[in-house]
Amino acid sequence: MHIPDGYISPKTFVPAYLIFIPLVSYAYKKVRDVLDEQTLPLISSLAALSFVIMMFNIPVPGGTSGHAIGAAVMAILFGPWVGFLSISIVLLIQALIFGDGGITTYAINALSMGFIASFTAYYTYRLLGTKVNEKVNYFLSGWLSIVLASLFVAVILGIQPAIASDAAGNPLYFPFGLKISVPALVGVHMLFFGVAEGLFTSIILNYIKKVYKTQNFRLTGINSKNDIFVFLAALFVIIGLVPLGLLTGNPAWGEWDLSFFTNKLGSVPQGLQKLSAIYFAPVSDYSIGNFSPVAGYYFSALTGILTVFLLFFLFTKRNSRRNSTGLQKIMFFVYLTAVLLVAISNNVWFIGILLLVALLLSGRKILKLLKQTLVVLFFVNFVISVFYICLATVSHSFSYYSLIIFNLRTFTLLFFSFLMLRKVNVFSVFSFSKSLSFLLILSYSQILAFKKTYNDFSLAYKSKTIVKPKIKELHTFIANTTVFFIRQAMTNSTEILMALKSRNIKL
Amino acid sequence: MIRLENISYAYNGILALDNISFEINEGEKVMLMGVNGSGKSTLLKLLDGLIFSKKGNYFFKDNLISKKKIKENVFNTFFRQRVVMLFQKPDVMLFNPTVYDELAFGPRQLGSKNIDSDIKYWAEKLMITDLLSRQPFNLSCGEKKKVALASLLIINPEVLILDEPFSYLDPQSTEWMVEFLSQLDKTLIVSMHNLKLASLLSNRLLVLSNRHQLVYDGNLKAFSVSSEKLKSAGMFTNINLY
Repeated sequence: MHIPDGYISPKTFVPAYLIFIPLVSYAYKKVRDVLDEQTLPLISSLAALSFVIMMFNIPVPGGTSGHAIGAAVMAILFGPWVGFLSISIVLLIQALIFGDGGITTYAINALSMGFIASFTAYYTYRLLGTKVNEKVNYFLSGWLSIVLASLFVAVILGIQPAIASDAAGNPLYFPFGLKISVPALVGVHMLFFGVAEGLFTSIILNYIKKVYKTQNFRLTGINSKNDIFVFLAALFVIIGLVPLGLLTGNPAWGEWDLSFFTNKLGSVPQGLQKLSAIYFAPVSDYSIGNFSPVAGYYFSALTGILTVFLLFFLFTKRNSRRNSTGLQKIMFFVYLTAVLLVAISNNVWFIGILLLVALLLSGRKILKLLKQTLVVLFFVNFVISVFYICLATVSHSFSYYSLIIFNLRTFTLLFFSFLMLRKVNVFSVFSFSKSLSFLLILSYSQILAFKKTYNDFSLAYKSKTIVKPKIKELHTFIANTTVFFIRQAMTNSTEILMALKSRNIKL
Repeated sequence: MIRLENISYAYNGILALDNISFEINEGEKVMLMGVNGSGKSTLLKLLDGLIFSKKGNYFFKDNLISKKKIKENVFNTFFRQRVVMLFQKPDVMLFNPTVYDELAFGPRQLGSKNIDSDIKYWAEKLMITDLLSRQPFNLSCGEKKKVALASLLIINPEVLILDEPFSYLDPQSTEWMVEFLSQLDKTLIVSMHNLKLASLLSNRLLVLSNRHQLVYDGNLKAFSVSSEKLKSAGMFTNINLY
């Protein structure tokens, strides 16, 4: 469910950030008020836990398997706020360090898999209570958390053609409307990923109840009883704000056309007029043959692009000799600017030139980076592109431009992020906030340790398995292993706190 | 029984084993040493058919071990029944609700009839009878190692691969483990860091260098008294550790 960069227009991802940031700050404050100095060690350990949970393949009866997110397990065991925080951290690390999931789409991903999934699971579990069999309750909580999260993602994707199309009505971002995205995505999650999540939730929580005779590790004091109102209010805001562009007739976030200024300000600022041609003009508005009015814009565009990348080039060169935090920050900022420019631009040439410059600057690793980008692009875009070609051809609305810009944008953004991963030490970028950089580093180091242990678990299981295991045996294996990681996360969290105390570090 | 021919292995382009060749006969006890990061664990995982080298050949009882071969269910069962491995961290091997289930895991898979008596026998032999009803993850590290070892031995394997079996063990448990292993009538491949302990178990030593090559295959005593050989393997120390 990780939406990559390039699928979502700024009309959607900017409001999503505006909702996500206050919400995650509120969550942090709420947890911090209760846990105090234990907050960072615990959240980082639980982030590692939820990372490792995402590695498990849950065999579903019928011969297939899917991986769980673990939001339901986290939310029921530790409370929804802690679940939301941990999953948000994991998604941030996945986007920034593993290149999995977009940067522009991060807020949307965290809202769906973190916020909506955690709270849905938690309140489903509480509302069903003892009305149904406990195992069924666990299953439904997990299942519904995924289904609702996928519904949110499907709506976000599905409104893209309506809010981000060119003058001729051809989609510029995700190409399918709600009629396709909702049944396709929600359907798959109802039948497949939701079942995996439900099964996982049921197996793990049932096992914990059997072994520990307790239902949760909910940390005393983080009262979530009245948070259903916070949840509903936030949900209401999300529903209202995220598809803002759809509800208002006016252009939204960064996509004003020039008449907006003529109407409001009486005249169009000169610079903006130039810029607007660069960023917001689809090729269809300017036939390539008719070059003269466009030439000036391209010239300014090129200058801007070259400046950005010259900076990038300079800093990356210097970086190989000296690894200063300031440079890393600037490089990261340049990267973010480049991502934003590409994410909001609808001009093939503009994106193409940025990509070209990035390719030229990527140095000796260019082939590796290209291969890496192509592999990911194939997985995320191929099906959508093929489906779009078929569908649009049938409905006679096929546009080469849509197909090209969608794939080019995703490709460029993926390439940028892989290039950034190679050049920038993300941890030093976040040094402006001691807590945040501490949280990221602690989470990441524990993720690496957990990942290694997880691999050893799978190897040991392989080594000890003499005949092909039955699904039930695999489920027992998953339950035991997960409980091991839960215990390990709890132990690590206390040990980290003690280590901090012994060195007199206060956070 | 085991034959390696020019095996090389790399993790994401980083070399871990470089052109390794040796043979191990049935019933032989072989010690494997080398500095941290020399590739011992990689070699052991390769011998257990968990990872596969792209260069070179590994034969077990004249069967070429490859990813494809291990995927065949019949061969997989044949191989896993005969070659088992004790991981360095015993935690990763324990995935059953009780110690009893842990020991019963293998025999149940094989459809064995006398599971109860087998478990009783091995639990007594490894002195873990009192633990049978406990949860494996609540045990001490030494106990976990014993439980993991019992769960391997109960299926009566021919080759036992042990990855640093003495790490995390106190002196008493170490002594017990050495005695237990030396009396075991199996082909043993053991990685460790302690020459003295190694000499108690066997006289054949394989040494991996920090460049991931096999720099020594031969008599353990001859190696341990030669400071030149120790130095070349990066194992020479000025303090007498043991």
